[in-house]
Parts: sequence; C-alpha cells; structure tokens
Amino acid sequence: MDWAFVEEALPPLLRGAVATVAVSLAGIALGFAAGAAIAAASTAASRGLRGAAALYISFFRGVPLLVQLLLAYYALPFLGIDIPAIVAAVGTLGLCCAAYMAEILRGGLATVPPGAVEAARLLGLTRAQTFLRIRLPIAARTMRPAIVGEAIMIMKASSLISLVGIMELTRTSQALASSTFMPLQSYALCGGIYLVINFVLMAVGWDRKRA
Amino acid sequence: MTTPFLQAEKLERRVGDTQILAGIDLSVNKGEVVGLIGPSGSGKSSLLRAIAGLDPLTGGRVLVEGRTPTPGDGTIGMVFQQFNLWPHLTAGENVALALRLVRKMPRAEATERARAMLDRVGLLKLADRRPAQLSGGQQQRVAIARTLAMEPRLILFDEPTASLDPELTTEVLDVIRGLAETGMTMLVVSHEMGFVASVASRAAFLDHGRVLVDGPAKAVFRDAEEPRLRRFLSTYLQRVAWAPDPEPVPAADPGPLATFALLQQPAAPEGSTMSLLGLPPAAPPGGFSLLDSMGDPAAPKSPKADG
Repeated sequence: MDWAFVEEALPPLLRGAVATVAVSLAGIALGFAAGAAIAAASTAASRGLRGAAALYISFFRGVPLLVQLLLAYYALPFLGIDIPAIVAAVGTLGLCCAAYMAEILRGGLATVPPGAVEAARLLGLTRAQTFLRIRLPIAARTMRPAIVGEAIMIMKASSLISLVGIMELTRTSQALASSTFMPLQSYALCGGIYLVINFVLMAVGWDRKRA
Repeated sequence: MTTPFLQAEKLERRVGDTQILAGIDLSVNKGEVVGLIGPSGSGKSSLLRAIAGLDPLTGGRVLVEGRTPTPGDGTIGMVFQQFNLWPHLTAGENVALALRLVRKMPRAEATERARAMLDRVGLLKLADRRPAQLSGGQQQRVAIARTLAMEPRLILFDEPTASLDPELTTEVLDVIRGLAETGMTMLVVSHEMGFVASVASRAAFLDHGRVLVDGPAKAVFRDAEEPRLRRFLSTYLQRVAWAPDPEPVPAADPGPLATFALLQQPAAPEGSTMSLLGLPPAAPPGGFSLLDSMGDPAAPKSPKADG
C-alpha cells in the first residue's frame, strides 16, 4: 500500500463517508416512521387502507431502487415538482426502506402470542399500553435482526445516490480513482470504509441477551 | 332471595355453522367454587372466555353483581392453560406491571405488592427470573399471582394444569386449593377429576355447548345418572387405573361407581379423593389417591383449542 496515497485520499473519502452515513441514517429513520404507519395501515380494518398499503409495498419492493431514484430526480421536475438532489436521495431511500420496514414490523407483531395480549386486556391495560409495553417489546426480539439487516442494506444502497450527484463515499472514490489513476486503491479504501461502518451497525444492533 | 354473584343467561356463541355455546344458563353464588368438566370441544373453555368477555356472544348475557363486566374492569381475573406470561419481563415485573399502569401505583409500592403476591404462591425467591427460566408450574403460579394482585372478585381457571406434568400439576393445584379455602369465587375448567371433586362445591358437566348436569360436586361424581356423564367419568377412571379396555361400550357401561369398585388397591392415604367424595365405606378407598395427583397423560391433545 502506498501510504502517501492513503494520506492524500483518506480526508476526502472520510468526508464522503460522513455524507453516506448522514443520508442513510436519515433514510432509515424516515423508513422506520413511514414503515410503522404502513404496517398499521396494512392491518387496519379498512379495506381501502389495506389495499393502499399493499400497493405501496409492492411498488417500492418491486421497482429497483436505482430506477426509483432516477424517477424522483428526473420525472418529478418534469411534472413541475422541483426538489433538491439531497431531498430526492433521502426521500427515495426512506420511502423504499419504509416498504421493507412495514413488512418487518407487521410480521414481527404477528408473532406475538395472542395470549399475552389477552392477559393484558383482562388485567385492564389500554390498547396503547398493551402495544408499547407488551406487543412491541415482545416483537422487538424477533424483529431486531431483520431491522439491522435492513439498515445495512440501506447503508450500502446509498451508494446509488452517487448517480444524482451527491458527493457521498462511492462518488468520492470514483472521483479519486479518475484523478489519481489509482482505481484499485481508491475502491479498496472505499470498500474498507463501508465495511467499518456496517460493522458498527452490526455491533450496535447485536442482541447481547440473546447471544 | 338474593341475586347470584354471577349470572350467565342463555349464552350462545356461533362461529360460522358451528354452535359453540348452545344456550348456557349458569348462576354462581359468592364464594362458590364451580368445576366445569366435559370432553374436549364441549364448550368449557369457550364458556369461560365468554364470561370474561374475550369472545363475542351471539346471544345471551353475562351479569356479575347485576352488571355486565368488561375485560379489564377488575371484576374478573383469568388463569390460562398456556400461562400467558409476558416473556420480556421478570416474574416480579409480570405481577407489578398492571398495578403500575392500571392501578397507578408508584413503582416501589407495586414492586412491594408484587413480591407479597409471589410470596403467597411460594415464589418470592424467583422474582427476578424471566418466564423462560421458570418451570411450567412456577410460570403458572406467577400467572396466578399476577391475577390475584389485581384483586378480582371472580377468578376463571381455564385448564390451568393441562400443559403440566403430574408433579408440577400438584404444586399448581395446591395453590388453587388454598385460594378456594379463602372463599374466592372461582370457575375451574379442569380434566383433573379428583381435584374438581375435592375442591369444587359444585360441578357442571358440559357437552356440545350445553350444561347437561349441574349440581353439588359430590353428587355429580357419585350418582352420575346422566348417561353421557357416566360414560365420560368411567372412561376417565378406567384410564387412570390403566385398564386394558379404554373403549367403554355404552350398553355394558358399568357406571362410575362400579368402576370405582374395580379399583382395589391397598392403603388409602388420608384425604384421598375417595374420602372427599364421601363414598360409602364398603367401597374400596384405594386407587383414588391417584386422582389427586394424576396428570392427564392420555388426553388426546387436539391442536385446536378446547371448546
């Protein structure tokens, strides 16, 4: 390894990494919030709400994220909706993530034994208390690995937003590769940084009680 | 004439084409312990769930002290076959949670009361264990403590020992027996005939969503005249005695009393079900001690919920 190159390349790559982490975390947060709402809709009594949730989930899981990004970046302005690249990026990551999160949340809550909920009901807990104190914590155990997996997927998928001109980690390494004529080293460093970020995610998401 | 504590009038529940409860009338006085017996699918558990308000009725009404109870109003406590403890909380937290959230007790007070309740079922030492770290019998005792903590006026036991082995069954039945002695009003669905015979003041035999026999427990077990009940009881007794023929022929059915007489074994322990049943001294008392501690090993475990 050429240490002079590393010294030169690392500062811009780390700035790119900060952008990657910021955009991804914003997308994951949006995805979790919107996903919770969609999960609620998908189990609602209203047939219309359930249909809308099903439609949303099949669209965002069925169309490639790259195509979704291009649609947000190019098609929306064409329709007169002009949004900054960063909003298109975070929004698309978040809305796509929401479709997966909704399925994780719905499936996780479905694994909660009905008896645990009945016991809470007979003891007088309100629906909100039962959700927050009983259903959610029990479901969290089963959902945790899937949520961590989804967060990692979004972290990696954020490399696609380099396409709409945001200087995140992948785009920075591409620029570095072409300016230094050292693509191998550039992309190796880039991959290494992604790996470190995702190790941190895995460590944060590790369920110590279960291990 | 006093109004009964619990009055169930013409309870009906129908799901699709299946009549689960076919017009059940049941009234229970304060302090009474009523045992509900009957084959799987007869509606025993459904009756309890209907009284608790867990399942909607298609007809009839339930009154406790003159008004319709709603789930969570503190009138009725229920103990389930599968314990239904909350797996993410310790035993102590399982008991304390509703005290804090529903009774609005300060945390320290709720914890103290939870410990007192666990002590009552003999589990004070295990207050910090999670359900997964407890035996089935211990879990069921925690569930009983959780129910008692809310001071219900009626407790429904839905096959509380059906998923426990004989030893664990005994420890749970002892707790329920102790509770009966305090004058708590209880409805107990159980396949533990000896237990029902000794603890319940009254017994009701259900079949196909109807109450076929309802009377003082000793009479129901001793002079069972209703043919379906005779068949049910004698099948049970033959199985307990490891009789070679598990299939009773209705025509040649000797009746439960005759089956009692077949069970000749020496040395009847004090307080065996036999003596509690108050059977004539001529009848051999042995064998029935089995009923006190027997599990329900040969009961076919049907995947669908009972009744």
